[in-house]
Amino acid sequence: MRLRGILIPLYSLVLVATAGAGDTSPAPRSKLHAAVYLVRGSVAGSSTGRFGPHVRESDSTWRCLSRSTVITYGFGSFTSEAPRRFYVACGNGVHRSTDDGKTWRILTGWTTMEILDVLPHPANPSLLYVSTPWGIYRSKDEGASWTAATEGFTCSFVRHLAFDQRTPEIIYATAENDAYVTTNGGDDWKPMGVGRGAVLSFLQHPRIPDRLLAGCEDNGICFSTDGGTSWKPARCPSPASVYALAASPDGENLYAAGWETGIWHSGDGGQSWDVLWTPAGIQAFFCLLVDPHDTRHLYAGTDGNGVYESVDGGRGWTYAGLNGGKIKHLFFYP
Amino acid sequence: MMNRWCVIAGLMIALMPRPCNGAPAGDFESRRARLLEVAAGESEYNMMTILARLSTGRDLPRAFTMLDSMTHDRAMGGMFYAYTLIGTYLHARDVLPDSLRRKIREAFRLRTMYRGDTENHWVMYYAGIYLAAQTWPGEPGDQWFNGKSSDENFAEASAWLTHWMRLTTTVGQGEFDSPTYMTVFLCPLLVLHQFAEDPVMKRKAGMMVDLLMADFAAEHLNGSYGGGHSRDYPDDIVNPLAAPSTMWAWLYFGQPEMEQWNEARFRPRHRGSWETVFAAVSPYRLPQIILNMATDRSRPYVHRERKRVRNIIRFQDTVNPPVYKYTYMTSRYVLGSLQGGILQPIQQHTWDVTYTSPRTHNTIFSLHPYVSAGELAMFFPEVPKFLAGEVDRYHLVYTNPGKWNSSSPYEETFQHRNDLIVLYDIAPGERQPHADGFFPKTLDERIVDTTGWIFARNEGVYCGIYPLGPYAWTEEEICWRWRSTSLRTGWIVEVSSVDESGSFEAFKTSLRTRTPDTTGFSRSVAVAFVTATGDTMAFRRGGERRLNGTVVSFSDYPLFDGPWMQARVGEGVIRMTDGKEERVLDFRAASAEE
Repeated sequence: MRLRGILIPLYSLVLVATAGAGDTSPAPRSKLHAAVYLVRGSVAGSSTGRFGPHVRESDSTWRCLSRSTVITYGFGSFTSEAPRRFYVACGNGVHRSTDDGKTWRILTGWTTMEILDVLPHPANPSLLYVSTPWGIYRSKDEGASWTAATEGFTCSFVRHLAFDQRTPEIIYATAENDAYVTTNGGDDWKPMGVGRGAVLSFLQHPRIPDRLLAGCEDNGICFSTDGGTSWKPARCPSPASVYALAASPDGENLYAAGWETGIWHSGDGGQSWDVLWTPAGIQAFFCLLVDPHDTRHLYAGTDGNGVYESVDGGRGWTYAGLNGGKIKHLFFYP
Repeated sequence: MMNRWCVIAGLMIALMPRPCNGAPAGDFESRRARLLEVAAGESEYNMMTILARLSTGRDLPRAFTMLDSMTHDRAMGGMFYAYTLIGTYLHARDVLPDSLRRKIREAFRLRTMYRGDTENHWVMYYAGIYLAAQTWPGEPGDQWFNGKSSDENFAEASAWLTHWMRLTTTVGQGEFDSPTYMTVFLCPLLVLHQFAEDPVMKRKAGMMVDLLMADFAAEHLNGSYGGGHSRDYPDDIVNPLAAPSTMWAWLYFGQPEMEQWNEARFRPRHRGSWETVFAAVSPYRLPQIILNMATDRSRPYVHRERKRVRNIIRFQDTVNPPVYKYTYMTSRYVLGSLQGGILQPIQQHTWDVTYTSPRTHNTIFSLHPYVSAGELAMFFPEVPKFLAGEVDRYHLVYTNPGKWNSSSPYEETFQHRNDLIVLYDIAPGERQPHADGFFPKTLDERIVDTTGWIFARNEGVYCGIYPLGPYAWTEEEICWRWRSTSLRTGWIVEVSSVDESGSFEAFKTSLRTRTPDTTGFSRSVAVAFVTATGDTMAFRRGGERRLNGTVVSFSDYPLFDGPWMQARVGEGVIRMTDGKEERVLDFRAASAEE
């Protein structure tokens, strides 16, 4: 799933090394955040349950960042210069905080809704992308205004966005009928021809940039070794819907999960997958996250069972809070 | 401190001027007073019972305590809260203690007023934000829950409300004609109409109330909202007078002549429709012409409307395809239908015949209880596999094979006056491979005739149904459930009354001589039928609807067409007439003229 689970920390490491001459403040300790989309039994308009962006305070204790319930899909951040920006993609718009979550501003208006993903440019704080059921919108003025950036799409529903690790001019998008790519920062897009219907998740290999993986609806995982020009189906335990893809920073271990899959693992760059963990009572996973500082430390967000955590590379898992929550995204911030 | 405020508040309320827009006193005034009196005595905590107390001056200490508690819980928020809170504040700000006024202001800074994802959500949200930003102008972003300044919030709310009014009055409402959700359109519009300071917004909000009430009036029969609906709850579908719309009809039309909160057989008191309090405290008065539209049933008529489908986000190229609605109204029954197909998720009610009756469950209809993650995924952004389960957990009935509300891609209708053809062509492998029909036990007669017709009678209203395939009956608590497990099935429906057919025997005799032509049914789901007036209806599933050989085209459906209302698609002008007077709502010019 989440290319950004690896990329943002990588970008941050690069940029912290080069920016901020005279900045002597210690690097802040990253905290794990969870986008609790809903809790079981709730739908939009319901006031039941506590859903919204949450931050982990201790092992299984979380604090909600929003005061009332907010349908939450994901996170983004800009940390390469002060002030840091923390973004939350929500049903009612993109929320931004410049004080690490104390106060928020909704950047979008009535022409955009159901923000499924937010992608801040790693070096330019003014440039933002969001994906919605009505396509991609881009802002060049840090959310003051938005324009559609959907030239080349043959469907409107776009779910996830991710930058190429080599240049942020290249962006990948997962959509209802394919994955799409832009090489000019979103001016236009072209389909990647994954060929398996809806693409639900996407991953760029952290060490082999031309190796791409796409998790598909009812079609397992496809991979490309030529930067997306051609695709092949991976050998998967089942033709499942794969909602989440993640990688260790060295690329030695890849992880996937989705509908009735458990957690899958690949040690060959995504060409073949095995079941690593089959949990009882967890029907689906929405997201996976590898701790960039400890590659054996994994996190998984479930559909209605909250967050799970492994410290041994995925063989053993423990419950880590937010039971009842449907966790769409896990994210370290700052 | 609180007691002194109560005394002052009581004096101020007693001295408040009565609404004076020229509406005559009389039945409406007594009904609104009665509603406020009753709501003010209700113990449940909500803005409406609070507002009723504040408005009547009754039990003010409790009203202040209740309002204080509603501002105390920081988890409370959202669109319902936004408009009811500011509406209550604006109604009663002159009598509220300063501490409560500050808390209400703080609520708009501290709560996340979630906007929601449906049309009614957004009307509530933006009406609330509009009025709040107007009430507290010139304040910076850190004084608002969303970080936007008063000016920004006001501009955004104004822009969306203007957009929505334009869309509704040119191509049709999306969440249309809902016996439940009409409430949460009317209430925020009433509040907006009363308190908006911009004269154009104020006037247009009032015009929208006129429009929604007229839309209801044209399809209203003695308290019941007949025909097809975008969204309806099962309890209200099978028992039309149980719906919240009944309270609006009682309040504004004087029908039915019952206080719904005292009629548990229709609506238990704990489901009370107290939102009508916002109407009772409003200076808005229903124009006489709309009252006449709602109550004059001296002549039968056909009423047609064009609406739009809720925003489709997947699996279709058109975001808002049109909905075509046909209604035939008489003094004793109303037969109404949508064209069929998926027009709304989960709660669509495609057609029914509803009739006047003092009894409960005054309706007959059929449906295919469709279940599909794909249907839900057309409208909700969640991954399809999760949708059916989540909707089921919230609505409790979505996957129930016996549910009484549903859209279906396998259902189509063709109506001509008091006759209706409804066809089902269910694909093999569907989760619910059957069609159901609702026959209430309150019918006087339900006869399965040897000719194949099913005859039903409630007092002077007659209904003939010709099933297009084998079926079986199941007796349930409130109804006889008709069920066909044939994938290809349907009904021919003819409705009549003692006024039109004379006796029930005469009605049955007439139908027995007009057996539908079903020779093409098994091959292509096609039927033909000759109505009592000699018109030939021919309909093929997925094909043309023909009346006397001529194709019936939906493309010429106007926004409104009938003896009461006329409006062209795209124009933004709604013309109403009761045969004597005319009222023109011109949304382009923001004017309402008689």
